[in-house]
Amino acid sequence: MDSQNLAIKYGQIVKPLTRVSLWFWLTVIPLSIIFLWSFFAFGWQYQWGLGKTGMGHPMSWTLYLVNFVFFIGISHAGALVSAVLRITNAKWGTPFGRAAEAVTVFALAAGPTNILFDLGRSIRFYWVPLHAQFKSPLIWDFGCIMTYFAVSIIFLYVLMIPDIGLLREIFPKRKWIYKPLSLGWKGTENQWKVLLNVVGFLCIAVIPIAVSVHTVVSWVFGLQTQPMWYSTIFAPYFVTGAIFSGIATILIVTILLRRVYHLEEYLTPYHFNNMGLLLLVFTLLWAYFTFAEHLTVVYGGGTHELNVLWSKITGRYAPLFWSMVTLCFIIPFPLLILKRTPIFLLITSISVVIGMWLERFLIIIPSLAHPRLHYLRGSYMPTWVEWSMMAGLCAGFTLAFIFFSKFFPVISIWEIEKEKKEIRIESPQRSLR
Amino acid sequence: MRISRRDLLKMIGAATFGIALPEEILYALPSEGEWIPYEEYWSTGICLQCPGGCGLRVRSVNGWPVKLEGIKDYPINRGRLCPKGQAGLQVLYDPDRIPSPLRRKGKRGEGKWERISWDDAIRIVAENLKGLRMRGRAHQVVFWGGRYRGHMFDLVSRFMEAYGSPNHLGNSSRGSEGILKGHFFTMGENDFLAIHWEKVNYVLSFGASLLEASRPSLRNLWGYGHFRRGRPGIRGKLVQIEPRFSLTASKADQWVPIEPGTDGALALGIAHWIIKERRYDKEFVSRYTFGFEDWKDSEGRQHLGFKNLVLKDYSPQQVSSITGVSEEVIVNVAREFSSHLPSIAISGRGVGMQTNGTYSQMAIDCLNALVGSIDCQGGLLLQRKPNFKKWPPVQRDSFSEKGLSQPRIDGAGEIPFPFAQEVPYILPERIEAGDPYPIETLFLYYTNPLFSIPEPEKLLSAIEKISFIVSFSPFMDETTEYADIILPDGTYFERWQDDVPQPGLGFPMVGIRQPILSKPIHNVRNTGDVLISLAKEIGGSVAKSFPWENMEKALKEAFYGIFSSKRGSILEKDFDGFWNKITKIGGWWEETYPFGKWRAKFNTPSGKFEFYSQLLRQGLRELAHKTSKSFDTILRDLKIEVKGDKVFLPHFEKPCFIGDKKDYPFHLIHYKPMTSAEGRGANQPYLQEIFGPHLYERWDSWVEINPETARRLGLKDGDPVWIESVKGRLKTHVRLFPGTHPACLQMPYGQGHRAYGRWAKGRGVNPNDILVKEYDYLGGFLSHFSTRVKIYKARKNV
Amino acid sequence: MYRWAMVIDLDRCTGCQACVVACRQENNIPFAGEKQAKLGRAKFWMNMIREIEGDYPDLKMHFIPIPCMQCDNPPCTIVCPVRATYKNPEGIVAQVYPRCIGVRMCISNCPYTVRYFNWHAPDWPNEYKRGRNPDVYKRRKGITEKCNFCIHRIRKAKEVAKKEKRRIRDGEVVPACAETCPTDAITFGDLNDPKSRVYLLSKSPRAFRLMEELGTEPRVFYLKQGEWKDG
Ligand SMILES: Nc1nc2c(c(=O)[nH]1)N[C@H]1C(S)=C(S)[C@@H](COP(=O)(O)OP(=O)(O)OC[C@H]3O[C@@H](n4cnc5c(=O)[nH]c(N)nc54)[C@H](O)[C@@H]3O)O[C@H]1N2
Ligand SMILES: Nc1nc2c(c(=O)[nH]1)N[C@H]1C(S)=C(S)[C@@H](COP(=O)(O)OP(=O)(O)OC[C@H]3O[C@@H](n4cnc5c(=O)[nH]c(N)nc54)[C@H](O)[C@@H]3O)O[C@H]1N2
Ligand code: SF4
Ligand code: SF4
Ligand code: SF4
Ligand code: SF4
Ligand code: SF4
Ligand SMILES: [Mo]
Repeated sequence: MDSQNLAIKYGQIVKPLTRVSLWFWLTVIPLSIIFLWSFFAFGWQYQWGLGKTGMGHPMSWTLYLVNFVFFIGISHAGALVSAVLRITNAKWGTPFGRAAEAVTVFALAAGPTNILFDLGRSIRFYWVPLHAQFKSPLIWDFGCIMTYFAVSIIFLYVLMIPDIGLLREIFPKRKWIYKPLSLGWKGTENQWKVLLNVVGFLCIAVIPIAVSVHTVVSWVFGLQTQPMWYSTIFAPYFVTGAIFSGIATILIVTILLRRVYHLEEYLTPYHFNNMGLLLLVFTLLWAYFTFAEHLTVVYGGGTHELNVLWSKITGRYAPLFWSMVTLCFIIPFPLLILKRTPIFLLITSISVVIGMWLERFLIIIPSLAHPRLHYLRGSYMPTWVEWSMMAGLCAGFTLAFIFFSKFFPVISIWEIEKEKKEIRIESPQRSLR
Repeated sequence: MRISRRDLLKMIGAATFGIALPEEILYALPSEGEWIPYEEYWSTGICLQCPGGCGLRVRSVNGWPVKLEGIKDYPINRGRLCPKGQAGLQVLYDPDRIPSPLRRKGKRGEGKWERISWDDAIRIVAENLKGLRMRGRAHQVVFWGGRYRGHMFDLVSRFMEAYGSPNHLGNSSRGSEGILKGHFFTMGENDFLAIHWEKVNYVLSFGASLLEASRPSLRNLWGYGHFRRGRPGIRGKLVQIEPRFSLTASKADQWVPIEPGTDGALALGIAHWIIKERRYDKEFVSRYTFGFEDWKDSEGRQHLGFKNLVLKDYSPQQVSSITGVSEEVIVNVAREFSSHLPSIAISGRGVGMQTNGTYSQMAIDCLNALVGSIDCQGGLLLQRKPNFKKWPPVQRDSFSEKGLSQPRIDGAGEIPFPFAQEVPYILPERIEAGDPYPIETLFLYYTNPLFSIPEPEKLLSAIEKISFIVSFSPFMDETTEYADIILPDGTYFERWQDDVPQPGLGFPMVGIRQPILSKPIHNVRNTGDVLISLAKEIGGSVAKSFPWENMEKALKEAFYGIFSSKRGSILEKDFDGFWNKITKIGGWWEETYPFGKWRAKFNTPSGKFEFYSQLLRQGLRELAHKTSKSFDTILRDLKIEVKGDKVFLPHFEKPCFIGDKKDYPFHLIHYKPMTSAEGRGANQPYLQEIFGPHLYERWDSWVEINPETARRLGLKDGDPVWIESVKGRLKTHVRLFPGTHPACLQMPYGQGHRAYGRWAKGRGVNPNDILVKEYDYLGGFLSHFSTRVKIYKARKNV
Repeated sequence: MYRWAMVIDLDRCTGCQACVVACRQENNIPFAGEKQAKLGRAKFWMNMIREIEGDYPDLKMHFIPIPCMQCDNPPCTIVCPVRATYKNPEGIVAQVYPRCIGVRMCISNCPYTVRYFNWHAPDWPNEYKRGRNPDVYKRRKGITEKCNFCIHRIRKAKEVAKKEKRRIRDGEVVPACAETCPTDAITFGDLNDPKSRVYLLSKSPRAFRLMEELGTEPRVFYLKQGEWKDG
């Protein structure tokens, strides 16, 4: 079928690229303002020093680190989920793929930015690779994240090439971007072959990298002597949490897109139902790990660990802790069992995402607030600078996605098309060998 | 140290490959900490953050002092300094120092000043003094001083005598009169006693803040370390009797919380057991003491002795009910005290500065007599003075004679303060009332009464009555703010001054302060020099009384005596050699103490230690005679409850507390943390930032309460509270501290300034604002711990 | 080769904090001021920790001065991504200010919480600036600093010793804190010299180290009678 017809056939998917509604401006403008404001905030902090944040002794790693871990977590959604779904040839995942991969890329951009904010001398960030000491988990982190970043960009990109080729044809005006990006895609037999090979390979490659990333992120804490950080469970715990929050984010994004761009045709309850089930699985996994983690401390923990633990469960951080439990389990669990319709999934996912942010907060702050030598207990309250940076980051993240959706189809046209074909001439050959 | 590009590459290379490097290279990266050549020199001085009198070694770089250390072999501190000493440079460099002589513009206390030259300043003051003198009103000049050291006191007394005013209030007893009065009535000495830490085995401390305050702090701190761990095999025991679980109590082997104001009773209870069990040093008691047994006087009348008084009235159970200390503790302490010789009993202001302070101190001194630990190895020693050369006699003329013939403004030496040499605390009332005569001119030297004595508002209104106020302070403190003229003194780094420790180690010693900067940072002058110039300006006999051109010369004359005695640590052929040496070393001392010399002849009528104080008896008799009042009325004036012989014997007088127990259930205890330098420490950020280590408090004051009590009153740690006395109330925050006697609240002293520079001003609260003046009339001093208070929650930041 | 170490006798220490101030004055550590101090921005290379046990009237209170322990296997150095802090051959865990980029992982990984961060550019009122020690290196905002056993004093002693072609004598190097300690509680010296006071004291039956269980092998020893409880 030629490109014009395709364009017509998948008009709904292509439409957002051509039209901007009033809503677009209503969201983009405020977000942009927030985003720009955060630059001012950073400048302020850079000029006067980190003293402008709420950090102090011993609370020297706070909101920025929380956001770092949080966004890296989200990033797992993408590549990981879509790759897994592809490999397992779970067709219901196809319409989520593109969104997921995009989320990954933007989250990976957002995450490490926090480290930049957190540096005492941000300008010197490049010293990390320059003077790297390989014993430092931060270096491993740096390595893994950069790799993951690169790979997921390629992953996203490669999977877009056929669509870009299509867009090049149907939007002559935008040739200037699509042409170079399409790498002269013609859809020849050979090109398909290569493409599918590459995709196949990336799917395999992405998984271990993704896993490694959050493992190492967990080690940044897990290998430290702080009470309740030094723990073997951290790696899997973090990875699970990551995927958990990742899936939730994808759901939020897709459900919104579905609503805004009227993609009901492609994102059907059937798809969401399955995605919901996946989320359910991770809800349980998360609960299991959280329980295991805290139980170990209750039993094995020394005075120092217990100090931290009680501050979470009954102490100063109890409100946060219990809202985390509520948001990550008590709300999602029943809802996911009973209702997996888009609306309810939206609610659940939002609750999960917030809950997971709290989890990151509760992993980092209480431990630092209760160092082994108990003297002046740390207490921490973020300042406007930190809040601004966080807001700016979220704004940036959303903006990036919105703009992406204005240049590229948020649902992979060629894959849908392919599936349809396969259903028609039910060929024995699987979509990816 | 410059480093080559090669080093640099090597370094970066090496660093990246993780090879260990000598820090010399790693440290010397360009662009930071590049090494500037400098020239340094060391000089000496004497610290004056507190009256401890520690020797200072000052490291100066390119002319500016950068670090203080102790003089290695200075006997008081042996090369050590306390935190206040270490922070001393922040006194020198305080950004809010008074830069030059100032004259008041605008209204008093308004804070408008104009700079004037030293010549004008001195002329103005001299004019005022001359004028008064000519009009025969010299006596209406008051000189109110505080931290005198060495010859400054003599210089001022000399000035006042030559000028012709009896009103020199020198705070000569440095805020601990009670202790001195006790020593005076029992041993005839108006001075603090030194502790022979080298040998003492058992220290019974009645509220002596040994490890935080009581001077000489560094000697005591060292003594503590030494008597604890310095002597292989021997471990001294420290028992701290104090309502507050002070730092000293925390380091003591035993803490005995006691009802405030009842230490005298406890001491007598201990004496009771010692005497009953015949554990006292019979040899000392029989040979060196008077009034232990009952005795007959010349007229053959029978008198009660210490022994029977104590045996009758102070059995452990009687004492236990007074002091709240259990009988077994009393007995136990008594047993240990009398068996772990040499043992000493010492005390602090908390005991001395009570309405019954004199008697309490006498009782404590008696304990030392019982175990014979006076003037012996490991005992209490008399502080010997260096034999300075006497200055030539003061010249008086008719004007001075006339002025000196007038009564003292503070009525010291008369009822109700018969035994006081001075009563600065009463000044506000006297000046207010113009009784016996109004005050024209007031000099303030090294004292800040608006901050340091209770009921400051009285002084504030009294000040209105004074037409001319001169302050010598280098800092704009509360009182100086109300001066008309300020003649700023140099700080203790910037002036010539000698320093005789009170007490030191017993043997004679003197330290010397000297200007360590080539010139003072500001346009300031040593008050000693200023007084001499004033005298010269006044002229006549006053000028003649000051034959020296400045303080340095005056000191040299006095030190000539030490030089010519050819003794002690500096022996030189000629005086210049001696002077060079002493200014280089920082002081002179003669490390031999004549054990046994003092006890052989106490300065008392009997020449012995007097359990039964004949000095007191004579004094009161003369008084009765002079005032032709009956003995009983006099006793009533002095608020002494007992009658007959007991009056002259140490006994327990009920302490008097202001504010009745129902409405004001707590005693307000205020103490000097190690980090507070009387009223002077608050302008030093380094001290502010570590002010209350036992509660991690800083930059503020607080009130400590017993957690139980707090629970009862529904107070939580950190709550804002009001502390209220009959006088008024203070707002601060409360801290739950288990080391608080349930009947007490505790508050550090040193914060709560209304002036004194950017770091001190408006920070915390000052207990003196709610303390009430009450006196120990017998001793003639302020009772600083007689105020009862209540505490209740305050609304946040109101 | 030297192996610098410190012994602090808690039975002597009275918590007077002279060491705290001496350290700050010697190493040009500015005070934080009230607000900043409340936010935990006060730097105490020598920090004073207080422990209270029991209730009125039988309670105990200890003061523990905490410098950097100069651990023999320091958790703080390995985590620094740019190797701005490292264990020097004489066992001092040195901080390379110019190299530090302020990640603060070293801070969070120091179990003794003795690393301090320059939240602001270190600054003084001009008057105090005159009183700064020229021997210690400047720090800037955004980097970490900590006790370094008064490394500049050691270096000076070395220069002297080198000139005289000899080893540094026991007691020749005295850090500011030890020099001022009124009760002689702090002893500093070379563990490689079996005759040195630190060596002997470190072998005392009263000797222990904070959090030995962590295996950080601190080279600051404490002396205390009887059982020690931390936390
Ligand atoms: N750090 C420091 N040292 C100083 C000074 C300073 O300002 N700071 N000032 C110097 C001067 S001028 C002086 S006079 C001395 C004063 O030195 P001290 O008299 O030894 O100490 P203070 O804190 O003035 O005395 C108050 C103490 O008495 C206790 N106390 C209160 N009431 C009672 C009681 O009824 N019974 C008993 N047994 N104890 C009680 C309180 O707990 C408190 O510790 O310190 C000198 N040394
Ligand atoms: N509530 C309460 N009140 C107390 C005490 C207490 O424990 N609690 N302690 C009492 C005791 S023991 C005493 S001794 C008094 C001390 O009280 P004061 O005798 O008033 O001594 P400071 O308060 O130290 O004030 C000394 C003043 O001298 C000035 N000054 C500072 N340096 C210099 C200098 O170099 N030269 C000159 N000429 N002046 C200088 C400063 O302006 C400072 O204000 O406080 C007493 N007040
Ligand atoms: S004890 Fe007093 S004199 Fe000695 S250093 Fe401390 S403050 Fe100065
Ligand atoms: S100086 Fe000495 S006594 Fe004072 S706190 Fe430090 S170690 Fe303890
Ligand atoms: S004490 Fe902390 S900073 Fe010092 S070496 Fe050990 S881990 Fe590093
Ligand atoms: S703060 Fe400096 S020393 Fe610490 S880890 Fe970061 S770069 Fe390394
Ligand atoms: S050794 Fe030097 S740097 Fe370390 S605490 Fe002592 S004085 Fe400070
Ligand atoms: Mo005093």
